[in-house]
Parts: sequence; structure tokens; C-alpha cells
Amino acid sequence: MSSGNGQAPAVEVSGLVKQFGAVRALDGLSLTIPRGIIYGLLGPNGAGKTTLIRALIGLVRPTSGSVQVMGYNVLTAGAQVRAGSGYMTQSPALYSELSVWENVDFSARIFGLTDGGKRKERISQVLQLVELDQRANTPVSNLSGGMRQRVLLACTLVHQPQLLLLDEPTVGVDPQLRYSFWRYFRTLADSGVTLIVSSHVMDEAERCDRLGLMRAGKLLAEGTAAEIRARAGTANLEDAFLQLSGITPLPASDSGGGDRIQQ
Amino acid sequence: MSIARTLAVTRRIINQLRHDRRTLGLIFGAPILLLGLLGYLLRSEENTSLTLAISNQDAGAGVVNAGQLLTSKLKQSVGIVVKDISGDVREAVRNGTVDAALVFSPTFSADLLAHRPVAITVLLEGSNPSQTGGAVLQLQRAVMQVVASLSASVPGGTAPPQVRINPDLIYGSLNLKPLDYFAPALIGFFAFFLIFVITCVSFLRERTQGTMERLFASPITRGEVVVGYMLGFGLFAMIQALIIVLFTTLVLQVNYTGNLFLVFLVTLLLAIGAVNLGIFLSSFARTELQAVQFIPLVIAPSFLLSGLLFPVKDMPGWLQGVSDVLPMTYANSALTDIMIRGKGLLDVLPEFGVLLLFAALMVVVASLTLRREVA
Ligand SMILES: Nc1ncnc2c1ncn2[C@@H]1O[C@H](COP(=O)(O)OP(=O)(O)OP(=O)(O)O)[C@@H](O)[C@H]1O
Ligand SMILES: [Mg+2]
Repeated sequence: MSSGNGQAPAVEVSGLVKQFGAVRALDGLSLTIPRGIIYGLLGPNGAGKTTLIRALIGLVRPTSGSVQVMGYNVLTAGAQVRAGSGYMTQSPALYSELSVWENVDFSARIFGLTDGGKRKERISQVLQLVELDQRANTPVSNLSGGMRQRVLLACTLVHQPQLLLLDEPTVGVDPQLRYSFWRYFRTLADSGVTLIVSSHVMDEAERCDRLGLMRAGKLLAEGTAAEIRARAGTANLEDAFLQLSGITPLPASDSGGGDRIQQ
Repeated sequence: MSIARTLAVTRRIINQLRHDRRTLGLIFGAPILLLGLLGYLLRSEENTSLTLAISNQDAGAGVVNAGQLLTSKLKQSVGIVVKDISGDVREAVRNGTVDAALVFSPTFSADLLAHRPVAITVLLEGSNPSQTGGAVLQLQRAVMQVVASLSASVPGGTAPPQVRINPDLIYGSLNLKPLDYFAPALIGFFAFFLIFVITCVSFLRERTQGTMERLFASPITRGEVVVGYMLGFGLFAMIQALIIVLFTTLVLQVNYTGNLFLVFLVTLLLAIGAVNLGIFLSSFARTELQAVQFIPLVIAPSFLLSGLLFPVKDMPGWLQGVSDVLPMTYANSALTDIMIRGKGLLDVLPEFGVLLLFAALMVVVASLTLRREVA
């Protein structure tokens, strides 16, 4: 697996702008993410999280600005970036006629796992990880929403990428499995894999090494969870984000009501 | 039954269509396009005249040369254009320079004057049974009229002469059925139509269900996607072509004289073009509904203008121009040549070339229109 140019940071974005007609989805965003950490992207709906992730993998052509991933310029060396990355889309994009195994197998082949024996072994491994090894032959159309999300994660992990771009990976996944996902994310980060995870869930944000708070295509705040809390002068992350977004946090008695960022 | 709920559904449909300009355009525009095409084709069919070559071998009888008289009279007949062909009239019929050729025998005048029964040979191309039948009828009528008026002017000839039209077909035979004629073209049409629709919709689905985004987040190239699709659907196109050919020949008992393998090859080539046309056009549709709309816009003209129903040479000039760029036209012509005229690979090489070129062009165009970026 390609580890890119030397020890360049996993992601180096500067002055990134993406204009969709009248909408400026990314508005001069600059960001550096070191290797081997879990980086959390947070922000309200429409903040530009998905657009940023797509730009990192070359699926969105920037209006202006530069994007370096693993030391490669994504515009000129996109193939290298993509070969070493795994992108889990926000919607469970799977071939519904195909079985679980066939979906993961297709991803594996596309990413160059040509050795049949090794591929089979690896597919079994990731299916065990997402606890779908018993459902390998079930057509995806017969799976529950959370199960589809798990197949998608298996497809993303199968080629052992060095950079993982996970767009809300745990949506619809039950708490127990979410817990084991995050434990596995940590194992991956410890082994040197860089993970960029978008989320709306606060307890997930707490598990990230660093966080970036996005709003209207800009990075509002960046740092560890503790740094962000300290900067906002609030006791919990949710209040910190509301504060930093310029929205007055709700009175303390109400703030335990949800674990999602309010728009 | 609640009126309000019913009307809510109606209202929603109206709103959806209002937002989908393309579908609206199709509902209102496609009938005009298709009726217009049919109108042109049928109108031009009405006033087509029969082009005729005459080979007059009549030695004459005294001062009378009935062959010559008949020729000059036929030149004035409505709906018949007599062309002067210097060389072999058979060849002129074969290559389509004329629709038919009349051959007057050396003893034509003598036989007429002696009140012996006379046969006029009509050379016809013969591959299209309905055209053959029409031409024979038209000539019979014209010749009878002319002969009747001639016999009135020939001194002493009072009894009506016994003249028979004797059709001589270069290809096929008089018992060639319409199905035999349509089968080759239908083989091509179904392969093209079905494969096009299936590829177009499945490619579109890849986009709408989001798997295309994931696919392009891998190192795969556009060319790899297009060629991969082509091989995948090509395999099914191959099986389909085989089934069509076997069914038409074995079950429908279609008469064919040519090489079945060539038929299969042409069908396959056409289908490969259809796969890539499907991929190409799918990028101009946002929904399955819009993809299905390519059927009246792309497939129907192919059906009407490829010479399946209406001979290309009888179409107005500009429609012939359209016909010339349709791959179906070449597939049609190749399949008819092979199955009815029994021609070989060398004879249909130009058509093969065009079909190959079309398939190759579509691979390139499909690859180029495919975008990695979602935006
Ligand atoms: N393909 C597109 N065409 C036009 N506008 C787009 C497109 N993709 C995104 N946008 C716009 O860009 C902005 C950012 O969208 P994006 O999907 O990046 O947000 P997000 O942070 O991922 O939101 P969410 O939390 O809801 O997933 C939105 O205003 C959206 O409408
Ligand atoms: Mg998003």
C-alpha cells in the first residue's frame, strides 16, 4: 500500500474554495491533518463536510485552492491518492442485487486485490469485523439499514487503506456495534492509519484526537476536544460548538436533551 | 374515497412533471417528431415512381418493331421512369440503379403479329417481397395498357394479344414471405434496442444509487469502467444474438441463404455499439424516467429510417442524410445482404467497417463524457 511522499502530513489543504452555482460549499478553507490520528469533522447540515471529503479524494474539482493528500497533489496524482484511501459515502451506496460478499469482493478487486486466496481471507476478516460473516450470502436488498452501513464499512476497509475518509460512518448502527467500530478505528490509528470522520454525535467527537468545527464552508475552530472546550469556556463540547457557531447555548438544564448539534 | 387526498396525488404529479421539463417536452414533442417522420416517409412513398431499364432485343417484323413502340409508350406512362442503361441491365437491377428491367425477346414483334402468346421478362431484385409484388403489378398494368393501345393501331390486329409478364428475381424467390424480408432487420433491431435500454438504465442506476461515486473513489479509470461494461453486456448481447438467430431460423423457419455466423457477428457488433451508446446517453439523463425517453428519441428514428420499413432511396434527401449516420442502417443492409442475398464477408465489409467504427467511436465518446467528479 502506498504511504505517499515521505512524511508529509496526511492532508494539507489551503485556501480551498468550492462554488456550486450560488452556493459556496467551501469558502477558503485551510487545514492540516497529521498522520496516524483520528480527525473529527463536525458541523451542521450543509456545512461542507461531505464536499471537503470529496475534494480530498478528487471527486470534487476545487474552484480554487490546493489539496495535498499523503504528499500527493490530488489534481495531478489522484490515482495514487485513491489507491491508498478508503472513502465511505454518507449514503449506503451498494449494489442491492448483489450479496454482501459480492459487494465487498467487487470493492476488493477494484482496489487491486488480485490474489484470490488473500482476497477471500481479507473479505472474511472484514465481514467478521462488521459482524456480517453469517450474512455473507444475503442480498443487500434484504438487509436492515444499519447492516447496509456495516457492509459499506467493510467495502471501505477491505483493501487496508492508509487514509480512511468516513462520512458519518455510524449512522443507523446500534450502540454496541458503534462502540466496537470506534475501538477498531483506534486500533487502526495506532497502527499508523489516518482517519477523517464526519459526525454529528458528541460522544464520537470526544473519541477523536483532533476536531475541526465547520460552518458555511469555513473552519471555525480546530484542536483537541479539551482545547475547544477551553476556548469556548464551556463544560461540554456541544455547548462549545453552539457557542463558537455564534448560537447562544441553551440553559444548562435543557442541554442534556440531545447529542446532536442544533442548526 | 377522499377527494382531497385524490387531488393531492394529482397535484403532486403535476408538480413533479412541471419540474421535469424534459419529460414534459417528450410528452408533447415526441408525437410531433414521430408523426412528422412517418408523415414524410409515407408521403414520399406515395409518389415514388418505378425506375425501369429496358433491354430491347426485338428484331422487329417488317416495318414494325413492337419493342421500340412499347418502349416509347412506356416512357410516357405515369409513375414510370425509363432509364437508358448502356451495359448489362441485370447488373443495373442488382446494384439498385433501377428498380426493374424489361426484356423483350428477339421474336417479340413476330410473335405479337402472329397472335402467339408473348412473355415479357421482368428482372427484379427480389429481396423485398412487398416491393417485388408492387412492381410486378404496376408493370403488368402499364404494359397491358400500352399493348392494348398498340394493337388498336397495328393494321389487321383486332384480337387482343396474349401478353404475359414473367418475373425473374435475382435474389430470393416469389415465395419469399414478408417475414423472411423483415427477419434480418428485426434481428438487428432487437439486439440494438434491448441492449441499449438495459445498459442505459443500469449505468444510470449506478449513478443514482451512489455506487458510481464509490467506484470513482478507487483508482479505476473511465476507460476501464466503459470497457468493463462493454464486455459484461457484450457477453449477454452475444447470447441474445445467438438466441435470436436460432429462434428465427429454427422455430420461425425464416428462409435464409447466407452464413449464420456472419449474421451473429453483425448483431454482436451492433450490440456493442448499443452498449456504449447507452453509457454515453445515460449521462444526459438524471432519472430512469428520462432514460426511458431515449427510446422514442433515439430508437424510433432508427427503426423508421434504417430502411427496415421504407427503402432508404425513396426517402427525402435530408432523411437519407439522417439514415446514413444511423448504425442500424448499416446493420440492416449487412443482415439483408447476408441472409437474403447470400453475400459473404467481403461483400459486407464496408458495413462491418462502419459498425466497427461506430462501436469504437462510442467507446471513446462514452469514456470522455464520463466524469469522475460528482460536480
Ligand atoms: N452536487 C452539488 N450541487 C450543488 N450543490 C451542492 C452539491 N453538493 C453539495 N452542495 C451544497 O453544498 C453545501 C454543502 O454540502 P455538503 O453536502 O458538503 O454538506 P454537509 O456538511 O456534508 O452536510 P450534512 O451534515 O447534511 O451531510 C450545501 O449547501 C449543499 O446544498
Ligand atoms: Mg454530508
